Amino acid sequence: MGDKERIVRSNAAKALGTLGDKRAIPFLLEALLDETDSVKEAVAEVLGILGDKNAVIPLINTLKATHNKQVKIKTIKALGELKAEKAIHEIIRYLNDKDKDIKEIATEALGKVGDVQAIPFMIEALFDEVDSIREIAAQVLGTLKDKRAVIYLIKALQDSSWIVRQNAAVSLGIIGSKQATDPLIKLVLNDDNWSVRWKACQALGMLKDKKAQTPLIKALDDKDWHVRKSAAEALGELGDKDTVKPLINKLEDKERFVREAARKALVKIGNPSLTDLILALEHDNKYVRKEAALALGELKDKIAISALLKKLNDKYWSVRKAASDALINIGEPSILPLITIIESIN
Amino acid sequence: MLQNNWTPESLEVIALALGKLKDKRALSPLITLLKH
Repeated sequence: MGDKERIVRSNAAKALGTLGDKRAIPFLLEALLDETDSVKEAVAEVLGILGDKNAVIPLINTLKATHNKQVKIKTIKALGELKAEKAIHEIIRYLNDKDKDIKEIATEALGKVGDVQAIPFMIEALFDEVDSIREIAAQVLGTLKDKRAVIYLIKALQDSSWIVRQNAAVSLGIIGSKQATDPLIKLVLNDDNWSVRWKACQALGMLKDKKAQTPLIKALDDKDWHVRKSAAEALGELGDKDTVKPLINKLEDKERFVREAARKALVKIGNPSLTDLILALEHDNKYVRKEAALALGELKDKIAISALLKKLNDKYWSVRKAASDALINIGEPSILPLITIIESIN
Repeated sequence: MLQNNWTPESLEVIALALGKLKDKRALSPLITLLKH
């Protein structure tokens, strides 16, 4: 690391980061005092990657001393990666920096530190004039999981940026306050952006509020498949038997991921799905028959065996294979009926 | 010709299932299928 050429020293630091050997840390801390900013920048980044808390104080000192934007960015980022609680006050100073990039990285870093002291600052950042800051704050407030943020995140569901609305929806789901159900339902039904409707469905699945059931059933017919898929998943989380029929209908969806999500939801609902799934084995659509067979296999109820045996004779291989897999999943009770079929052909 | 409408395509997945279920009672029936 004594090489006079700054590029050599920077690259050596980066290489030490790739090696990931903590024996390099004392040498890297020494190099953090390098006279060249590009070397400090590289070393700060590597110290964040190596994850040794001994680097916290030297990084704070570097941050205090530097005037270079890139060194500040890499140092703040490293302090975030190290979850450096000692650095909170130093990071907070940069939340209102006039440079947008530094503000962004400080907001992200504060979220990564994950300390509750960050909450008031994140709430303030949620209403910043810069879109990217609001977007980060909306996400970070979810990771901090503090109910104080709920009313502000609900307000952020009306933000002009779709990323803020989307991140706020997810955060409300993570925090888990049912106070958010109605505003999230509005988003599912009315937001113009599919990604927002998608994440709002996911959030409603996390909240498990029965009030969301009817809107989620409506979302099963959304024009975007991500929304239909997450609506099915959310209904699986709610687990109500009244959603069996709408979910069975989704086994026919033109998009494979939606069909699979509907099947998994029916499996989560469990026994109340059995009768409709057995009936679905006779559906005209091969995808419905296939997904119904797979679901019955996952439910492992021997009541489905005779209906599944018939599907071993389906004209489509995918249905026959799904029925066979289902019988394998059901296990021991399937053996004799299968043997009986072979005996019947002789 | 197979009886009871069981096609070779059906027996293919039945053999697969019996193989995966790993039960000794399936030995003789599987040998029967082997001779088909």
